[in-house]
Amino acid sequence: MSGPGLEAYLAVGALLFGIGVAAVLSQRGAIMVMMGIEIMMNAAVLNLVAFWRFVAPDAFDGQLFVIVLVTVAAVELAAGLGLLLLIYRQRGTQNIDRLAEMKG
Amino acid sequence: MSASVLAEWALFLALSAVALGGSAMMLLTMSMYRAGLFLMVSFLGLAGMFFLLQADLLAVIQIMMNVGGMLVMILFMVMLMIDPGGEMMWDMKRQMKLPGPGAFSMSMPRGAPPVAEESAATAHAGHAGDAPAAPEGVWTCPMHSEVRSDEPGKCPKCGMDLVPAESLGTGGSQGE
Repeated sequence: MSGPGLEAYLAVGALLFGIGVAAVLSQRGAIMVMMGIEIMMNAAVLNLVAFWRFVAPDAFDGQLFVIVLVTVAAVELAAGLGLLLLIYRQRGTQNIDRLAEMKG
Repeated sequence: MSASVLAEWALFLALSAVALGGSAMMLLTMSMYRAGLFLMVSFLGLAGMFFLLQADLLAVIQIMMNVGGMLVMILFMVMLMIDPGGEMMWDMKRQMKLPGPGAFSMSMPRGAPPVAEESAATAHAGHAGDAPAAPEGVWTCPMHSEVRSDEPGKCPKCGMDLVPAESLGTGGSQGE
């Protein structure tokens, strides 16, 4: 028997993703929704690193992919925070149910 | 089974417990500030798992980008928007859609939430657990929720007829 393999890491990633989905679906505060999205992104990153390690450890494509993904997550966080700050200053709320004008 | 394999399993289980427990506590806690801190703990556990996967560079990047990002998030959003020492927990309880996973949290505030100051005059007796309702008799524009009027009329921005604020369902007095 060897150390934790691919399946163990994928199981942790799946659980993390499930927690992120639960956070996004159950919260009304926009900040909490963004935190759930962050958890989901990190679950995806964990899967990528695990696949890189156990499937193709010689190629660095996986690591580069992860770096791109982390950058995208940071950009998303910055843009989302900027939008939220503006919305909060204009409306005084961060409740996503009150930001439904585009619902038609 | 050699000792190093055992140590690797123990490390893996401990780090995954930190990562999963941190994010689960982020979901269960009723305080946005604590949620941010738990999320940072979860990211640190994840960074440890990257070390275990021999992706050292990614682990360091994870710590710098995500943990630092969460720090900025806590500083900017939580401190700026929500009173950390005040009724924040009640605010989050009001904002839950269904009872939600947080309803089973040990730190869930019990009982009916205290009525916020601005809505103290308007909260219904039987709906104290709902989101603060719009004041009775307030008319608002269906397209411009910031327009508030004490009497029916036309919206000054678009000319539409004003409707009772409660009929829009944004006050939480209607069912979802």
